[in-house]
Amino acid sequence: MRDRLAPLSFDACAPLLLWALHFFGAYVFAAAACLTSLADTEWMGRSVIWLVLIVWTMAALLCALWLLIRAGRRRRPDGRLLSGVRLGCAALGLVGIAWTGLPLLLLSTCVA
Amino acid sequence: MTAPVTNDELPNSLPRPDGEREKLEALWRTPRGWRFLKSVNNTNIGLLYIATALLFFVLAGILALLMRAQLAVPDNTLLDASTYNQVFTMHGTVMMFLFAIPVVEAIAVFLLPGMLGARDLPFPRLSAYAYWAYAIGGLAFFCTLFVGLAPDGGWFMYPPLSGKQYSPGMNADFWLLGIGFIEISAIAGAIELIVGILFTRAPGMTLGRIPIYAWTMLVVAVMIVFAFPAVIAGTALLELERAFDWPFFIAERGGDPVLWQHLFWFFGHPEVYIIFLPAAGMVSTMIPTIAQTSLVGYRAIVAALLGVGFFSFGLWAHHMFSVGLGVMELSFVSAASMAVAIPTAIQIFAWIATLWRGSVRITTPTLFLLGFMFVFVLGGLTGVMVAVVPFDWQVHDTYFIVAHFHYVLIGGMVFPMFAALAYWLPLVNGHTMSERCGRWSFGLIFGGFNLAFFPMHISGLLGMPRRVYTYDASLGWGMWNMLSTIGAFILALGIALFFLDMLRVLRKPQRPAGNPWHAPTLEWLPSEDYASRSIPQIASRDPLWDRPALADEVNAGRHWLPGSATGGRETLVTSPVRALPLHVLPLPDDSWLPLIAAVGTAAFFLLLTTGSVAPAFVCGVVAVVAVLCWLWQTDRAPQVPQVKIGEHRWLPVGARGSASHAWWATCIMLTVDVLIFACFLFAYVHASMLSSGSCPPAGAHLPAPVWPLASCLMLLSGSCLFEMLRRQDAHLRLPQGRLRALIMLAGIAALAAFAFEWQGHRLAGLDPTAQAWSAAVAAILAYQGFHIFVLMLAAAYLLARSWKGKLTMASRSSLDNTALLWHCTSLQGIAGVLTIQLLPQWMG
Repeated sequence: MRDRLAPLSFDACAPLLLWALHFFGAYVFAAAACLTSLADTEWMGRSVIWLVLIVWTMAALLCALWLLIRAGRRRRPDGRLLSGVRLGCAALGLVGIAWTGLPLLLLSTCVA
Repeated sequence: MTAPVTNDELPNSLPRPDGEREKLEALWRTPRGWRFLKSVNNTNIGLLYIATALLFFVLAGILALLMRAQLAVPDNTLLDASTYNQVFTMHGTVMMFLFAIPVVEAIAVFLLPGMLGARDLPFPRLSAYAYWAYAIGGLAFFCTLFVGLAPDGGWFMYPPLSGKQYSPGMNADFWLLGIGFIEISAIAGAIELIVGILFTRAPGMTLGRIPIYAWTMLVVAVMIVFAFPAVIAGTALLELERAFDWPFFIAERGGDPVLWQHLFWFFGHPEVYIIFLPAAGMVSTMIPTIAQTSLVGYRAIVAALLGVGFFSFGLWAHHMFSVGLGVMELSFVSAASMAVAIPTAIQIFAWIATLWRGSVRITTPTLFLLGFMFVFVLGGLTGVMVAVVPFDWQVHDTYFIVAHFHYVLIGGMVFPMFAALAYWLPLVNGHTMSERCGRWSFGLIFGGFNLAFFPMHISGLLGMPRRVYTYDASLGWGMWNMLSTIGAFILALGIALFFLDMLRVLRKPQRPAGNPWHAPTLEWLPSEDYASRSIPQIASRDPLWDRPALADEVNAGRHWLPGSATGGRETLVTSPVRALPLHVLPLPDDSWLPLIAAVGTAAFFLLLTTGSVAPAFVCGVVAVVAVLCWLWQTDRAPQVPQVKIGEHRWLPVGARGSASHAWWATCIMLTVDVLIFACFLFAYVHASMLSSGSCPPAGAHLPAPVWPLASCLMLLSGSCLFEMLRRQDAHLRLPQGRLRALIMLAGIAALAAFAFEWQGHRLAGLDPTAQAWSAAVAAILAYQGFHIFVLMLAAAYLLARSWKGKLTMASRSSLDNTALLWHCTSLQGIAGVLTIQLLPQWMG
């Protein structure tokens, strides 16, 4: 088809895809790592699992923030669908990642 | 090039040629009498679909009344425990699988052709097949209740209760069967909706002008593609366990009942949104009409729909807070459960803002929409409560949860459905429902609903568990249950009144629908069996408001394709983003084949469940032959290469490769296929992680590397051969004889690949009944075997087409789509082999 549907869809949904990547990455890593010796490993007095998740979340938050700023700069005044949806998805993605990261402020180790 | 829309530059001028409209009528005429059963027009199928789904709603509602009658007083003996188990299981299963999902797809199939300005959606026979499989299978499934064979393990059928040990009869098998039918119809519906919404919109209906309902259905259809594979894989594994003793969910043999919960809820939670979002789409369509103003926040709503679509996949484990998952994982899911409230709230605020900005007329649809907002918001708030892990631990499996999800589902889906039925009923025969009856029924439904379900919050907080068939008077739950029962019967009275009035209206003689609500969307254009007389050129989001003459212009034939350009049924295909006309898509005529295929499919599964293997396979063959005949008919060369759709506009007929609608449908189907395979791989990884310390577990062995290696090489060879013939055929370089030889060689390579893989596992002593790890390996192998069988069928079909001279440049859809299937099978086979071989080494 002549329209560029796939790049356009990716452009709009990128922040939500980032949320999905962060969420499922964090979930799978926590679920798998807590079954291994990593659960009892510490580095600089903190659980290695927790440190990995914090770094993962910070990286995702930075990417989401960049996507939000980029969406804001590319916003067009003519009310085009893509610019509005891109901005909305970027805001939702950022909030979703921040929200997913909140438990890390309260939990630092694996608890079954 | 955007087509003109000014009055004097419309695509066609007047007067139209004599007989143009009569020819359209003849081509699209709905068959009368018993021949109606072969009708494939989506508008007719949509009506049948809606009626059947509502029948299941009534039947499941009667079961609910039986449950409420039983629980009205303590120590009641109206139903015994066993019957009660069957009744609550059937109530939940029928409501969720045979009513809620089908009705939202049914309404979409009925409304979307008109709303998009298409003559029909691109796969009418697929819709007919999906409907008949659902209707026949669903009714047979419901009838198990009358012979004591209904499932009795709850609507989510947790193992080990649903395993052979605790459910030895056929009851659980019938549940798996019932789910199978909705899996078929849901996936078929998703294909129809995605391709239809992306490619059959009226010219000018850009992505920014799509009716918000179509946006919702697009998101929902994509969600179905990603959610359903998990339950398809789960039900397949459970049936394999029950039929062949492959212990996927038996903990003593390395299985895990929690695996079922992961698979079921990875489907089950998005399913809530698969049900809710279409209702939200209907609300977003009706509210601007009742307020007579444009929808506030269209772009924010589209973003919110996408947000809900994504976030809903992160919520599956919030049904599993009490199964012993790690607290860190639970917290992530809890956070996602709260995050999903944001995009949902965006939609609710947009609706409130639209009502605020407009001038609201209080009619029956308005009342149901206001009722929806009140009830759904309450359900959403208790949803946030149960997303909090410690609170969920207290109320899990109590009546608080029953109250919560009825507020969400009835509030979020049933209230909008009643509003939609009242709003769109004039499209059926031109008459509106009685306002007086509508107000009474709304009052009874709203009052009855709250009286039935609000007290359940309290009985749940008092500790009343779900699914108990009776309770002791000393527990103090009697008053709350009596109130719930009275409320349930009032609710039933309201629903009965609504349906009686609807039946009264439907008995009235047909008349033109007009536009009784002064709505802005295209489904209110004057229409017949062929939809609107000509396909409109759209220039705004609210076309009937912004161009008041549109209905007259379209009906006079002044827009696109005012007659039949190809001499048969057809519609316009437009580009997915800018909606520019691309080609004319010939559509199939009415046919008995979808019905025969559906009867064969339903009979195959039903007979197999009852153990009648030979008759089952006969019916299966009938189904396969019917589908092949139908595919044979639809992949045909167009009579003419180009046709005129407007006075100065010619378009090609049909398309090839990635421009073809069939190519897109195959890609969607293969996405489902790959995701099912991914779920089997997940089961394998899960079983490997559980095989404490050693993988493969004691007694199991990996095949010697030579066999999987040989298998991979053969798969690659088969795919290369097939790609070679596809590319050469595209340039017309290959004689038919060599083309047939290449197809046969590719087939032999695929067969050899499977034989090598099989031999490797046979020599390694694979015993799927020994433990879950071996069962998971066998499931991957069996799935690959099924694909090889399908490839053999496809190869035989291609050979037959080649012999008949029907494998040509102009009719090569079968070849292109088989190529996709072939490569997908090869990649899956290689991925399966690598995962089976490498994971144990990686795990040490």
